[in-house]
Amino acid sequence: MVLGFLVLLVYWLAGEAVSQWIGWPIPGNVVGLVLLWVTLTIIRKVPKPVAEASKMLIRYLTLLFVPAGVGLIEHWDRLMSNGHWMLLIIAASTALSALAMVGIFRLFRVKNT
Amino acid sequence: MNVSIDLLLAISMTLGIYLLAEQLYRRAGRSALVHPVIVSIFSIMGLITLLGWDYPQYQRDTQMIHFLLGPATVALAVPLHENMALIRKMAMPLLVACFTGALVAAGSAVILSDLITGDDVLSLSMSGKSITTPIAIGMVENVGGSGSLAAGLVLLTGAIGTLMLPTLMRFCKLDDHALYGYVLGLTAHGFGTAQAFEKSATCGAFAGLSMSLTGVVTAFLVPPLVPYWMTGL
Repeated sequence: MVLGFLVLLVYWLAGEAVSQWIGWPIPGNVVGLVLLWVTLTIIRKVPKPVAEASKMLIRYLTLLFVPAGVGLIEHWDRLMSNGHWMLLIIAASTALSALAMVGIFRLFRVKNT
Repeated sequence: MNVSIDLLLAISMTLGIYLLAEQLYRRAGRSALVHPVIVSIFSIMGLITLLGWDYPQYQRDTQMIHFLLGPATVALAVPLHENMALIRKMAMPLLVACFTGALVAAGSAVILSDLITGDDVLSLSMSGKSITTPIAIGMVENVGGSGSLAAGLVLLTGAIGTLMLPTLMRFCKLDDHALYGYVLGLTAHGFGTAQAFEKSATCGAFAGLSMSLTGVVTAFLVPPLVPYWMTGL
């Protein structure tokens, strides 16, 4: 468990280093995700400590972003003045992207996978 | 060991309320409207207002919980690796659909918000609205938006998506479980994935796959494009 956690931290560290080095504005933890994904694809299995640590963290993933979510309190004025537009924009954008995907499925005649 | 009472109180309160919210979610038949995150966030907002705390202090005190988002995001590589095997047969079209869907989801939201509201922080934060929260917070902060606002927009997108997608997809006659799940995961991240698992295991697995894939694709492609989607930046 601790070993698995260490592996995740080291990949995050490597991700931060790579992202600063190439100067592309991607979060280091996403670069770490990609590095770990490439590693798993190469070794073709998930080492047990990594599987355990990741299962634990993903189980409580939603708890982890509660503190950031509470920060919405600082945007109260924004929600009050533009809240109705936010709903409309999100609904329109969701419909557009879903329809674009259905279009691609039709174009490539994706039937069943 | 000298730890402030406020810090212990903030962390215990956050964990306690979250666990209660999870119980409520189970009792209420897992409806997206009483999702534990939504209930926790609004209850804690109410409590810190009652206690007279300010958000920067609460944010500092709960830094320990927030920090774990780092390794948790890296951990998403494990389910992504396990689910990639699903798309071997149809890899090309499904990847094209993911890139297109991710760009349309982020681009249309940023452009519409910029045109309608003219609020730069809001429009920049819209860029991460369709991706899973841990990735959205980091990405949006990198492009100059607000992580907290992004978290709120992501939750809103998930709730709206699960409400409108079933009808929209029925209208499009998309009934293949795998493809249906793929659309749900891309547009409505974790909320969509949870809904997809209620339909079938295949539907859920494809939703989980497209959710993580979209997060990665968006985090790589969208930040350099965002300035071109906005006027006056």
